[in-house]
Amino acid sequence: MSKVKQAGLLLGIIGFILPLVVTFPGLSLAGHIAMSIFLMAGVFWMFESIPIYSTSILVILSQVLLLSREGFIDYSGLAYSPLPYSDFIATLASPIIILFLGGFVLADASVKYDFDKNMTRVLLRPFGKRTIFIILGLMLVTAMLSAFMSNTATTAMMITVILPIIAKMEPGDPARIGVALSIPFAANIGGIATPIGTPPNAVVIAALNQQGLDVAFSSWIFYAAPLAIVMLFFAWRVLLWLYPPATKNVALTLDSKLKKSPSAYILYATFAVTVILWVTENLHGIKSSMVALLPIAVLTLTSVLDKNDIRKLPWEVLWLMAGGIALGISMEETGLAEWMVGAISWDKFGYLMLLGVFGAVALTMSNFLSNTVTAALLIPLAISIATSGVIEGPEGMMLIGLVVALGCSFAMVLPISTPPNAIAVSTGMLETKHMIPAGLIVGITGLIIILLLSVFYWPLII
Amino acid sequence: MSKKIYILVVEDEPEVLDAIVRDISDFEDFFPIEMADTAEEAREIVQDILEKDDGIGLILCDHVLPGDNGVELLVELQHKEETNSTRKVLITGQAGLQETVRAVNEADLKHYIAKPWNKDELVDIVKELLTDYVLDHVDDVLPYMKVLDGARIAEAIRKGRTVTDK
Amino acid sequence: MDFRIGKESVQDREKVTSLIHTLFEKSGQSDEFLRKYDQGTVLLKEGDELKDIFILLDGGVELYKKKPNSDIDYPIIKLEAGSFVGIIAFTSGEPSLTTAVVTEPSTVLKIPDSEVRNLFKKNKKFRSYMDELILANLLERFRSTIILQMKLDSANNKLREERNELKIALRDLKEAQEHLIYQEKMATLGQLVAGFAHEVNNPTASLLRSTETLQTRISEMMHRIEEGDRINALAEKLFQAGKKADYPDTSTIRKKSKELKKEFSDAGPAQIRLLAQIQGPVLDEIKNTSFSDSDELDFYLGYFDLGKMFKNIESAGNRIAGLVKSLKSYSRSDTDREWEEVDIREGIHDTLQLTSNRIKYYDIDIDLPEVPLISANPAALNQVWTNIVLNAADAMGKKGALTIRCTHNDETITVTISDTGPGIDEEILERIFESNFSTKKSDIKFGLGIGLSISRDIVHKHGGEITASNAPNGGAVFTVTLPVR
Repeated sequence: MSKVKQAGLLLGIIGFILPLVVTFPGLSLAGHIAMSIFLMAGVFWMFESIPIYSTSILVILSQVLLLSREGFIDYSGLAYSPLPYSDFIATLASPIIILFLGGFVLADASVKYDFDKNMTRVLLRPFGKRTIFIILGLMLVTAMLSAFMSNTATTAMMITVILPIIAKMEPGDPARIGVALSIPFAANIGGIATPIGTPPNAVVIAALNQQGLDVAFSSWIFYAAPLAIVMLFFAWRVLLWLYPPATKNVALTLDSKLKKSPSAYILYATFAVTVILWVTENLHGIKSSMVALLPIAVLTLTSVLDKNDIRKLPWEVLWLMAGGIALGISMEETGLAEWMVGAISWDKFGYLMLLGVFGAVALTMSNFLSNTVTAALLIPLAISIATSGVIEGPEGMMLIGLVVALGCSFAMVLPISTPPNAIAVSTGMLETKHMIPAGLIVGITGLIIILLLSVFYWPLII
Repeated sequence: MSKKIYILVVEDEPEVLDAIVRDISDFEDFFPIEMADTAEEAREIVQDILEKDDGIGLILCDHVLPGDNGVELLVELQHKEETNSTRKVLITGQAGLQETVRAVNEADLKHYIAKPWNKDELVDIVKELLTDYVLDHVDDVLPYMKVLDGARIAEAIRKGRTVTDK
Repeated sequence: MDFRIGKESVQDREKVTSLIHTLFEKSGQSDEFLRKYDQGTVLLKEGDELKDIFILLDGGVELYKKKPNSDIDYPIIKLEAGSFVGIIAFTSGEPSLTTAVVTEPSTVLKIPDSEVRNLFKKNKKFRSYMDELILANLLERFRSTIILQMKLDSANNKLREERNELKIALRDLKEAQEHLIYQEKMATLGQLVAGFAHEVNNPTASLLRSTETLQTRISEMMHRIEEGDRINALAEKLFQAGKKADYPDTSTIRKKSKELKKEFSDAGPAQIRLLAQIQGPVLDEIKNTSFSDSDELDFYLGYFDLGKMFKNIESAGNRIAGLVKSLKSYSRSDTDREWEEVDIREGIHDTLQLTSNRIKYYDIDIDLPEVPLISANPAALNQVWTNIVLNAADAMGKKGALTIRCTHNDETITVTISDTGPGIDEEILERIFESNFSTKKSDIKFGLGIGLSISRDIVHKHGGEITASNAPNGGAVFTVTLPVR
């Protein structure tokens, strides 16, 4: 294990022990326990001393042992009424997790049957041959796909599409960098558009659900899609400005045949039906998590996905999210979040300033940490602020939730910020120094647009 | 993750050995290169590498060597479990048909390069065969994307789903 | 002889025998002498004394004779009614020359030899009949003999024809042998060309690759010079060191690399490899210089590499030139004359050059003092040396020693080539120079088997001799003597 990770391991253990030996005034016993868990989880997630999904399980384990009704600590007579341990465990299959599972199942089946490649081929056709429009086309397609599939898988696929394009460009052509960067940027931006686009969304939605706020699939799209579209075009122009293409035209050849087997057709149908049901949630009212069971059931019973495919689903991402959700629960229920928030007198801040601070913190942290982890650490605090009344009502909670969720996804400055960025740098087509300016511009602008939306647009529709 | 993948070059003429290693030096950041000028020395190097629990991804071998010849060495390595999946290539000025057939049939020879070779041809073959090896043996293939066949590695990530969102 | 019956009856044996038959019947002796025999009955055995005579009245008898040194009876002649079985023995008194066997149920007059004389005395008619019978039988035999003689003549003629044909066939065979010699030459040449090609491919590869790298390095250098760097003393020294550098073997490089890695912890593997090849004080100078970064170390090492390239190109070029020269000299491809005054040592050296890829791992011990020039066909002699050397390589396998010596006196030059292989079986030492003799298996390239016989032919054409023997401590020795002319 590297020195850094060893340090993290040590710090995490210290963090866990600290609240057990030091008393923080104003914080209940349960709150101290919750702080132990919070500090340990935060450090382990940051340093990745153990795998991040492992930390999540550790969180749930600690909660079950120390914060649950059936745990070792007797809370009778104390302010905290311990939750049944099943509540903590249930995060592993909470509705939002099931929703994501449905998304994963659709995405993996799409990869298995080359549906993603075929959709790309079809969707890219109208964009012609001119380099600048091809870049736009690539970005739009990437964004659309990553709204429903994992950003990373979308990036991996699109890399195979752009490698031949880049190979045909002259070695010194800045467009090589531009094209290579456009993919991770578009993947990150596209991911914000739907609840299943990226895991931070899940953590935030789950936290909001915990507070009684339900967010319909279609509602989220209304909130987030405009941001995605605007930022997508903005990022496109920025990349063209920073890395103007030297070649005017680009030959794009995509070889993939549309699969016509019965299994493929079942996939296409299931995909279409599921997406339509999700997107129209407001019309029919069937919850998106319930709809998510449809593709899971259909694709497995028809053997479109078999046992091996199911094993290959990214279960660790679900665990990661579950841990984040569980952490939020313990922070809320024990009053820790409230106490942490209470340390600062937020009413001095203007409401917009508050949103701005959270957004900036989310953006900055997630550039160095996993986006999901950032969301998991911040959203309990954000919600506490909302419940403390500094921001008004459910709308306020929704706003701050959106700011945190979306802010996490705009972290694109470094290769470590997000896996799509890492993949792009691994191709060798660009270096970190090319990524930084573009990432900064897009990130900061994104934050500004988020704040603008939270003043002018969201209050109107929430 | 720390398991190293070696390239072994076996050639008895020093200038030619030098030239081969120079031509494939771009791969050295990811695949350490070891050189031997006899089959016997090659065996020792293989032993050392295996003892450290590392692997040999590719062997570029001449046929005419003092002592045991190249084809014999390759057949031996093919029969050894740990080097069975090592990709084997002959770079040689002379190996008769009989010996080449033996190498193909008994040593799973992947490619035959005649001297003098063309640098691009050599580099392409090394890249392709190392990509084969890495895709077979390594879980996290992302770091190899820029030195190996990027398209195949990206496709493996896409289908293999070894890199996920965080 | 009394020819009572007259001429006609001499021709007609049947008539005579029936007369004899009648005679016996009249005299009532037929029962005594008349016999009926079944098929297969043996009347006379070859070599037996004649005890009885047989006159065949009716049926058939076959005479057999044994071939010399054999126990098998061969049929000679079939006798019909009217024949006198045992006639030769009777008239000559010798033992029977044939074995007589009855071939079908027959009626025969069997008269004991002693009785015949009695009957002759008693009966004059019988006597005359017998005379005529004997004559008739003898005439018959004579006729057969004439026919036989005619057959013999015709057989002789055939033989004469065939003998002529054989002469022609022999001539054709000789032509074929010469053709085979030519093929053997070509086959040997083929082997040598393959070996040559392999040898030449190595320096060619070195040459081409070095040249390409050289181009890259030089343009890098040019670039640097443009940017204002100047070549300084250390770089110059490194360049010179490169031009002189010997390439150490791989295990030395490995050891040195391990040591150097401790001192140059930041250097990459390619740089360490180059450092491991630098010998002499320059290496110490590098150790004592501090480099600002890896690129600067690269810059200096680049000069060493540059020197190495130049050396590689030069030595590879020389090697190629040497190989081509040897091949031309060996095959005498650029002269028209076949026979010249030559120093045979040149041919031996050319041969060793061209077979070097087969013999490079052997210990080679050559001691060839000056010898007089002789009139010879150098290309052909080179065939002989090649043959012997390649045989030695086949015998020795992977490891061994090849020793070549030559001595001379006023009249002959003697060349001995010995190897450390298993030697040649005493029994076949004589036969190895025969055509078609080969101990090698069916590998077409090598074992045409007429290599040594052709070598002997060539040596004989030069007036010399080639012999093979075994050395006292193992291995074969080939000795070629050539007259000084």
